[in-house]
Amino acid sequence: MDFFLQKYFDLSNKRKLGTSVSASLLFVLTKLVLPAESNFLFFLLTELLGLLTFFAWSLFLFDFVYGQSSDPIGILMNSMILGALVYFLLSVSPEYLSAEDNLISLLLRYAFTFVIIASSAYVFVVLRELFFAHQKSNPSLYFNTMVLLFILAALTARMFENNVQYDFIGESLTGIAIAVSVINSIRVAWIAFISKKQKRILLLLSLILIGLFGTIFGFTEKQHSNFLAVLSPALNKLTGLIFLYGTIYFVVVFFTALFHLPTAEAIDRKTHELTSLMDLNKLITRVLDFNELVDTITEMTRDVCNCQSAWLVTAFEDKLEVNSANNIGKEEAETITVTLFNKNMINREGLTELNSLEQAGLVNNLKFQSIIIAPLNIHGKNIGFLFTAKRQSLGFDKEDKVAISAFADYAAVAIENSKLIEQSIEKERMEKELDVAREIQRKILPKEKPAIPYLEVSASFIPAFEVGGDYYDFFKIDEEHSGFVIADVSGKGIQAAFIMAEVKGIFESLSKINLSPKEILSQANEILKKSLDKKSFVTAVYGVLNTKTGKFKFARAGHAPVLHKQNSGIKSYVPRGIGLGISSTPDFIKTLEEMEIQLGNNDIIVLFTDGINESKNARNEEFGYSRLERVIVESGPVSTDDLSSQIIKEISLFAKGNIQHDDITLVIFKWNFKNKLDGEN
Amino acid sequence: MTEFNVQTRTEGSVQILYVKGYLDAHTAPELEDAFNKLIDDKKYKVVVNLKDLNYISSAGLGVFMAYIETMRENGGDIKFSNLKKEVFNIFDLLGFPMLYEFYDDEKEAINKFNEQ
Repeated sequence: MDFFLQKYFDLSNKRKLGTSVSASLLFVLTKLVLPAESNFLFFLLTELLGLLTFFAWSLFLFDFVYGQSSDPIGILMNSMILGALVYFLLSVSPEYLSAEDNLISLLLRYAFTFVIIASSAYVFVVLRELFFAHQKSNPSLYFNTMVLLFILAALTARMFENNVQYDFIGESLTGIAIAVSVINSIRVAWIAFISKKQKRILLLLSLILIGLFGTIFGFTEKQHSNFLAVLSPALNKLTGLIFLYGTIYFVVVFFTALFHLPTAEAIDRKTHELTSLMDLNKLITRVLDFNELVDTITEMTRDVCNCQSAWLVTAFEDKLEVNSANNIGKEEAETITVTLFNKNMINREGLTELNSLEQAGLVNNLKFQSIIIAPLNIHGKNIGFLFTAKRQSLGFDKEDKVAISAFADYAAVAIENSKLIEQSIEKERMEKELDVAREIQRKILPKEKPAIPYLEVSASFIPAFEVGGDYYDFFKIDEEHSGFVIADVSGKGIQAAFIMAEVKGIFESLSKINLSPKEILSQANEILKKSLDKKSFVTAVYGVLNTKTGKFKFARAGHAPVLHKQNSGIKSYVPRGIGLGISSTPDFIKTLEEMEIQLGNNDIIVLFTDGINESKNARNEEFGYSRLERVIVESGPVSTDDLSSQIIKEISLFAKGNIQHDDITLVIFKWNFKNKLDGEN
Repeated sequence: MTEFNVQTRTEGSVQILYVKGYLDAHTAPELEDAFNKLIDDKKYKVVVNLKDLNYISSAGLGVFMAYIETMRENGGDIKFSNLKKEVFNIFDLLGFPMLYEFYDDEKEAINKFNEQ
């Protein structure tokens, strides 16, 4: 049975409507064609078809009512309107409707009948929906029994009209059906779940429904003056029983609602509180935007404890900030907060309750008579406060305080979460960016030492965590000439890495043209001045070595000195020159000084960036130029690689685990005059 | 480490900025704020007194580079005075003395503005 019902439910509304209409037509047709008065079998058949029509309509209407018990006012209103319609039809229908057999009365009779069938079917499904609403165990047995009794009572209503001695069957079935209806009327659990306002409406509605349904039942009892009873005694009986059940049911509803009314507000509030907390709980995991989060918290708090104003303050190292103010100006909220905080009137462990602001010396424009302050604590650390204020004195009851505490606890977790997420996103973004910057730098710097005859070259590069923008390169200009560049881009990270890439491009192309170091730096300045922003600059040393003669020609643009080791002595050259990208004067080349020095056998040239001299120790002292020069002088006749690692070792000993803030670059070359002679011999 | 701060003093038409502490990428925005305020007030004659400046990074140097043009275009300038030797060396290495005026004493710098 259930299986077939289920199959039927799965059909589309259109199909169900079609079935209902077909059943109705079949009923009318049978009624008109078969002389039911004379034949018991025909009578039974039309009665059955009548009931079938009724249930077909019920099944069709079921979809419109299903699931509406959470907000039952709507379906009860509809029931009232339909009840009134049935009441109207039954009360005004003149007697001739049941007697006269002219066409108009015939049509009217059937029209009225179907209105009544559809209306009672609707009332029936509404009653069924309410019956099943919020029931924990499955009470379908009770309901199905009742429906079955309704059908039996309806069929037997007039079946034995001619055999009076069997009347008791119909009467006793009706009696049992009414008894079961009474039992079934206690299923009113849904009342507890509707709001106070809805309960008030329900009280009024159920009174009207009792009156309407009771009267309709009364009408159906008058079997000889009512057209429905004449047309189909079974339908008449069924309608009667349904409306009787409705009457009893709404009597129970009326009294239940009446008794629930005093506690309705408390239930409403608890429900509201619970749903708000659940919403907040969802927010914790969903809302990433801090401002949106705190606004929601103050909004919900104000809503739940019914207060004038609510505001949320975060505290960081005793610095207070009003992050969200609901129904109060931020400045006003800040004044109250700071004053109370400075007077040590706020408890950091539990709720603070104040009855006036005057005691804190505040002019109380907002006429707050009661204020509750809840601390936002997480892992024992105070991260802020949640303020709520009311105009009534003693405006907060115990439930309010519990609710505010709960909100403050949730808010603390939510705020902490949103901060952690923000931090980790920022951190991840920065790390990604630095990865890119490191990758750029790695690709830009030369991968291997250049193989230049008579020259021993060593290059060391130690990147800082935040890419510093150091750059060095070697260019073979021709058989005799080799170019060297070392540069340092101001700034750090991805921005420095991009500029570095540009610098590489500039020097690589300029070195191909046979220009002097001065000319190359001047050209580089012209290009960089156009592309760099006002705050950025690049320092560089560009030099050209004639590997045959040992003549080293170089120019410097704002960069660290060029060191020259000869025998056991060291010289530091700082030819005049402004950093690239600083000056836009067309005479820039005139500000540059070009030097030319003659290298001797085993002379060493050291080029470096300020990451070396600015390396710091624990006492914040710089490594400086003199320490560097001393290391080079004291190194003796070593290979360039050894000298390089010795310098770096000294720096790391000096810095001893202090964070390296800038890239360290060291380019050393030694002119091996002896090799040259050997080579020539 | 000493706290970084920027203080402003007015002497006639000249504004004197006292920059104290450690000027790097983290503290540079504070100096930028001070310069922005001067520009908002249309005060373009600036002496930067660096007697209490202990260090300047490339980001710090960048701040002066960023504002010098605006000052000069409006008939003003940025002049430096009272630099510690170590700090002057940083400016010097970068070639700033070829572009900016440096004075041993604040007074000289102010007088230079007033002579014009």
